[in-house]
Amino acid sequence: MTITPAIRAVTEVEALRTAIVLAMERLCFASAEGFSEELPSAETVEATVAFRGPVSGAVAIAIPQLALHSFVTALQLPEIAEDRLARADFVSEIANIVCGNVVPRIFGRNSVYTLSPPELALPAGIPIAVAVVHFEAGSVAAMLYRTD
Amino acid sequence: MVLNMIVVDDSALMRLVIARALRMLGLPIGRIDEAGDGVAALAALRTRSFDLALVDINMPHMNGIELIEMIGRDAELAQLPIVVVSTEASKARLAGVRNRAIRFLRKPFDPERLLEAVVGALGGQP
Repeated sequence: MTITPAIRAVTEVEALRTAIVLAMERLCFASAEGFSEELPSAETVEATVAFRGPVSGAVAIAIPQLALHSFVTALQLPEIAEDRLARADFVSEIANIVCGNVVPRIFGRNSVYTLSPPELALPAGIPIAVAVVHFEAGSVAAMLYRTD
Repeated sequence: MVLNMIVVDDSALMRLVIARALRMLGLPIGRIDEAGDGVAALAALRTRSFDLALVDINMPHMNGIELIEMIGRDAELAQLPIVVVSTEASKARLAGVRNRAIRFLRKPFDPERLLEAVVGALGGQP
């Protein structure tokens, strides 16, 4: 069966959206309010997790500073609420969760993929799919890159 | 009897989230130690007694797969129940790990799944 690029793109965006929604709901009790593909215009904190396997690439997450503060506060962990490292850790963990869940979903569950530790930067290149999920506190953007 | 556990994850945030979730399960939990990678976890496991290890896979220095293999080769630790708390991509990597007591909990998890995994790893006897 041939899958057209258009259908693949939709699938990739939906996979990114689903992974963001699940991660945010279960990690900081945030409910999604809407979707778009327009990246946040405010200054963001970014993290990237690269993956290697039959397909190689990366998933990056970008969260505006203000929204990030609200998300971390919503975790209700007083020991980290004002900690800048914790905010970077939060973005990194969302990148790890989103990457670790969308890669098998998009590229096949039976293949073995190795994920790299998160890096606090965006990868070079143009993403093949972008998904932005809006929450009350702000938006979370996910971008999927292919490097093979 | 209380259950002493160790949470192994390179994310300090996730360690706190998992530890908090464990405390809310209603199980008789005693000490919850933390380790940021497999090396630190192995050192802790060899100096203190634990009833369960919750282990991430994607970590620097010594990842979760390597840690589980080291635990399996250590006569003192080989029977330690393990819950792998990681993403779906890690599940396929676990296929190569021969260990009898591994439960898999996919991130992001909900409390019910955490309870199932913990109780299951403990043999249904919390």
